[in-house]
Amino acid sequence: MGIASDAGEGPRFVPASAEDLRGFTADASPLAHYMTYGPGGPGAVANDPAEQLGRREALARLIEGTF
Amino acid sequence: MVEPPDQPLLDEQLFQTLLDELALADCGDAMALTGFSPAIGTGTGGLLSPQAMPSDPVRAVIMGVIDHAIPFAHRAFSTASGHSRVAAIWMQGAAPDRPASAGGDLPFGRELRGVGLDLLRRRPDGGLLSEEQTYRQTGALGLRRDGREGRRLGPGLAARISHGAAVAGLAAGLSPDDPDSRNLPIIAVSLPDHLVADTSGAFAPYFVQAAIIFIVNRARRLAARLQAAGRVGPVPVVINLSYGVTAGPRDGSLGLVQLQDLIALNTRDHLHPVHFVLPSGNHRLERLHGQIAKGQSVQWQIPPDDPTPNVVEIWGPRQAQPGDQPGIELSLTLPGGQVAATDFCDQRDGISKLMAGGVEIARAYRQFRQIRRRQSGERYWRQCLTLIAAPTLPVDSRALHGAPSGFWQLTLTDGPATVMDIDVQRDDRLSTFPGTRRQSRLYDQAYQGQGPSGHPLDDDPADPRSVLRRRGTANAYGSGDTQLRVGGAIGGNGVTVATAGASGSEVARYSGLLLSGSPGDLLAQSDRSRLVSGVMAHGCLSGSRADMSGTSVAAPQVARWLALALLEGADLPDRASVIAHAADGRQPPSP
Repeated sequence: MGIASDAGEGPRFVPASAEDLRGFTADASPLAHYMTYGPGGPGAVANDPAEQLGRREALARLIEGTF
Repeated sequence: MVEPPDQPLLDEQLFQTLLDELALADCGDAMALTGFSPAIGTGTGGLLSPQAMPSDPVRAVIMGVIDHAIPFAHRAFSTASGHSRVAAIWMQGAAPDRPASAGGDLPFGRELRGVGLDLLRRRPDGGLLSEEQTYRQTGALGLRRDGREGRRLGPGLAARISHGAAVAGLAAGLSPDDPDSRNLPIIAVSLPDHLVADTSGAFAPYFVQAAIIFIVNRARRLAARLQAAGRVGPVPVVINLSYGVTAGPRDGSLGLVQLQDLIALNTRDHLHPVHFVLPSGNHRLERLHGQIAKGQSVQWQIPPDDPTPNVVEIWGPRQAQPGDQPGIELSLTLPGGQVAATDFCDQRDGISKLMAGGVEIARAYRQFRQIRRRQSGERYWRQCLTLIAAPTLPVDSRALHGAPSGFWQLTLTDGPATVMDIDVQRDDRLSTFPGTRRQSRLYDQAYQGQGPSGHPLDDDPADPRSVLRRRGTANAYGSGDTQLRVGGAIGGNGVTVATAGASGSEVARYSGLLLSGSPGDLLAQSDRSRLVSGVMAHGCLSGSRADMSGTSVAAPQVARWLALALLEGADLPDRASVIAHAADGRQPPSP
């Protein structure tokens, strides 16, 4: 989630990006990470950059899927 | 051993961005401050109908409520003319209706404002749309997030009573005929079903932080309107957050806690004072907290047939630098005698899989967190090892192997020389949600649960022999410098000051304890007596009532008491002054 200033609205929300969501939810707890990437999560843990990107997107989907 | 997440788990930079944006408006920047008023009453929708605007803007106090299933159309939140006192409510779990949603600045969910709600409810014949129809038309009831009719995670407002109905009613419910009802406008956030159903709070900070920002944002706009109507000076705000977890650092370092402190300590705003009121928690005697040293062991009781992971956290002491102390390592002895151990391979932060019989039965995360306390300027490090046990009832046999239930022996094999906190995260099932979640606990034969009389011991012995502790079980979300932590009292004596060592005949035994042994800063009734639990609270529909127990219902009574005191002109700028006010025994008349 990002916050941007807007002359008419003051601080306001802007739509969340996957990267932002990761920062906020990962701050929440390692459990959020485990529920996304753990044995039951949508992505296997790997070091490949493409898979890392996939994991971020998976987390974003997990969270956005709850909205 | 696998690689840790590709980014630090604590995203300091992102959080700082949020704080900087708040600070922009805090520093008296003319554009930022005046920027609120042009939007009011224009295309974004008015916050309150003229008939619901505070009758005395000089005295008005804004009440913020963050909860779940808040019945915003309830009569207790209306004026005598039937207009809504709810200036704005963000239903985070409702289907979005952009671009029609008021404000259009929310990333998800739907916002309703007072004027829009009044227009929606007003029928051509002059009557009001029923509460149920209002909830259905606004997506608060019966609709999934995609807007289609369907089963939600929980009954929400379809139930006789909801947590949000009880909490919001106790905090801000007033008779429409009360002459002061209009002077207590409400800004609310209804948290999504899934968030509340997951009692571990794994995803909670994102939503709760956003909820706090929303309330502050809308309260600033309402304050600007009050100032235009004649109010001089800032407007007080009381925000009730009857929500919490059982693990986490209890040192005020959580981002969610720092955000509350930052807002509460800001004295250069449209809003002041801003008080956050939170419950002390209900888990004092649940065997979820302890203190453990290197070389010591404790049993972790993992329940069978549990479809959710179980979590225990071990928090090290403060360190000036991450390399000052050895990293925490542990071993597990499973019920069948198998042994698994963490191995972080000399990495400071990382993830370690614990295997048994070729199956991953748990995963450990070790993090060294750099902590910066913004009020004191202190900087230090703390390490946390989070051990997550796989569910004992796998929900997907293709992906998960069930962990064994029973007693797992946890032994700290390495780590700092000083004693460390060990906390089991909450994982119980709320009665209003279907499904199964089962709470894990710590077990230690040396723990003395009952005294000679057979009654539970309310406090730790002077020389505890057990790893388990009652002190330090208070809600981690209330561990900052400013929040008012509320414990549950037995019987009704209004709002009183909480003290260490109060007996079980005065304080609910489940009330979490601060490290000092006090069940919070203040007490309010959570049970009628030791035998009759709960207090009378609002149901979801006007006229309905139900009992609800716990510190969740104690906190909003303090929020109400505080708001009414501020409305009467009491000067209560901070936590200490509020406690002193309660010590004076000043109780506003019960509305």
